[in-house]
Amino acid sequence: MSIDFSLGEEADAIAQTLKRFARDQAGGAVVPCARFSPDLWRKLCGLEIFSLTGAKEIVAVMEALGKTNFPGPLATTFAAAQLFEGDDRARIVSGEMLVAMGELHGDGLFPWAAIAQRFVWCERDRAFAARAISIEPVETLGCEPWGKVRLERESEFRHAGRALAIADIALGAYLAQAGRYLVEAASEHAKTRTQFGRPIGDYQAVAHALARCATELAAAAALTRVAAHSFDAERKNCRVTSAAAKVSAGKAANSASQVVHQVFGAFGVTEEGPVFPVARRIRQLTLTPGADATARAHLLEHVGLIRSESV
Amino acid sequence: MSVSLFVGSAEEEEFRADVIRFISEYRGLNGFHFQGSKWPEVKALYRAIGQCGWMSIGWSDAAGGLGRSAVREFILWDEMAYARVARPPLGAGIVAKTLIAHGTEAQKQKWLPPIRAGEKFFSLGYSEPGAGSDLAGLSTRADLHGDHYVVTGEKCWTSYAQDSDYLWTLVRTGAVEDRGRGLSLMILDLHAPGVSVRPLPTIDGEQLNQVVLDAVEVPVEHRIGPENAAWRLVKDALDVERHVQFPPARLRRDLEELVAWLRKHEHELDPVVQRTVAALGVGVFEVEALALLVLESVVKGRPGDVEAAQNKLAHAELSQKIARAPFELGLSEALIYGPIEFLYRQSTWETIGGGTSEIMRSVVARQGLGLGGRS
Repeated sequence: MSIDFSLGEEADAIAQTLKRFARDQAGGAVVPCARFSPDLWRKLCGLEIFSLTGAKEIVAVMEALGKTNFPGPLATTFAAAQLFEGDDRARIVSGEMLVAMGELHGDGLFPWAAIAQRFVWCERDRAFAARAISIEPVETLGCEPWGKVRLERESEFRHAGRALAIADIALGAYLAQAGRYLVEAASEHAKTRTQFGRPIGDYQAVAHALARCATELAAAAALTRVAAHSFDAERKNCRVTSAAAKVSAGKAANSASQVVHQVFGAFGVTEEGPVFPVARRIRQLTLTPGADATARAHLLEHVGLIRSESV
Repeated sequence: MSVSLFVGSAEEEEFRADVIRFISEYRGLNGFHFQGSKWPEVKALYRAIGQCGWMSIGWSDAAGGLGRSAVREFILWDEMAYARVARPPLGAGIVAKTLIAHGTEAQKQKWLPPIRAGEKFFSLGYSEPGAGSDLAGLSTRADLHGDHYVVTGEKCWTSYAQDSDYLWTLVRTGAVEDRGRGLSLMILDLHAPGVSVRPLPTIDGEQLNQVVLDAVEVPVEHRIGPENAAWRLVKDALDVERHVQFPPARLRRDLEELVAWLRKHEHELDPVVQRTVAALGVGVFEVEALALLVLESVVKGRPGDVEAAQNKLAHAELSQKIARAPFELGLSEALIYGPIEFLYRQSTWETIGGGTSEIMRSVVARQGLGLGGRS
């Protein structure tokens, strides 16, 4: 990459459109965490964001959506748009068809399985079209309609590695900004909430905890943008940088959630408080079955500790 | 793993290749960690860097430099750090760039040529026994007597003073209550009468120094910038050098050494080890991305105080996480004298030197989030 962390004018324009759209739909700073709305999803797809193929543009979209806690299988749909072709792709990017994508482990827990029409079964950097033999819907912390499934593999997708890389980059961008939203909200609160005669943000115990979160999130956001540049330039290290970006953003966003819950005090644990709708979605997005192990395998290979089959 | 996240232009990558070729003659020197105990060899290396024109690679043409961008400086010192060969010397960075921006023509003529050639070296004389993080509270006094100042006081925790020619020092020329507005910047000859340098051995086998200044005479023409106006100069100097202060490739190298050690001791299949190393691998990427943000701010001439503080904070803490990992994992072979226990000792300094982590968090809190950051 050149020394340029900006995403470009086109991407900035997309981000502005998305921010306005998300805030209009939310009627507030963030979209509440509630049962999935197909109507809201189709409105989002109507903006034609899932037709984008450049990583920098996708990062712009996901950063804007992350800041507003926007729901839906966002990263999956960006990846699916890279995997599927023809009529299926057209129906996916328009919002008519939903894709469930993930690795299959243990009890068969699978993201978005309860309402998906297409299934993508991933195995590290390979991806297969799959048919659902059975689906048992489950309720989840982040209000996403997951399911326990039995799948049967059909054909293998080509170029799965790049699609999975774009999913990681998209998720990293979303999570870093979701965390950033929380830190900014907590900082505003800390400037006005007074205890012992001073704003609580004057105390290092509060200020330094938020500074640590801001630092971790800045690193994650920067790494995500580096990964996007690597993706667009088709660099060899794109897969590992995208995996690292996703892990980094997930760790930073979860850490920020915990700190921000604490900064808001009792208000931070109420349903009407600003933290939980975002914190629960962050938890959900960072706990996709098998994703940790796959990212770890890429990282351990990269640092030379071990070959992937030993992980 | 020895590949930077940053890929420059074709010319920049060609320069990187030149640097790597140059370094190959100095492999094994480890002047990065042992500058003091290997000073004759490190000094020779600096001279060779000077002969390549790289000491002054980022200086303007008018100042006798090569006029290249900050990107080349970053590449040069990042590769030097990866090879463990040397750190950027204070003279070619903070000293020279401050002289170029604020020095008189006579000062430039006097100091820049030997710095460019890698022949004269400087130590940073800021900290004092009573003024570490709070530099505005320093008390070393400089009083004007005709054509010279008489400087009396004590500097401490001074790196490389035992081998340097000059002290780039902050002194009080105004009133104590003026705090930062009463400070001046001077170049003080470390071999002048009244200077005594006492070693303070450090836990990494190197040394810091106590520098006692007993009525040391400093010619008035060795004052840089106006009297009592040092604060702005000190800040400006940090702004133009922050992209080479904490080279991220040092951490890439640390992790590589840890991984090699873990494999040598057959710990690579332990799932706890794998989780730890994977997390450290992410950390190395994070710090490199933050370092590139700092580089971007320097290249674009943007204020980058928050980015620099975040980079320093993350860099220092990750260096300790990598160094401490074998101990946290309970691997007792780490206790045996060698590169692993050395990193444990050396990295302890990282969250203190160059601005403590507490100060860095306060900068991020205050300037990045608008929070007070007081105790």
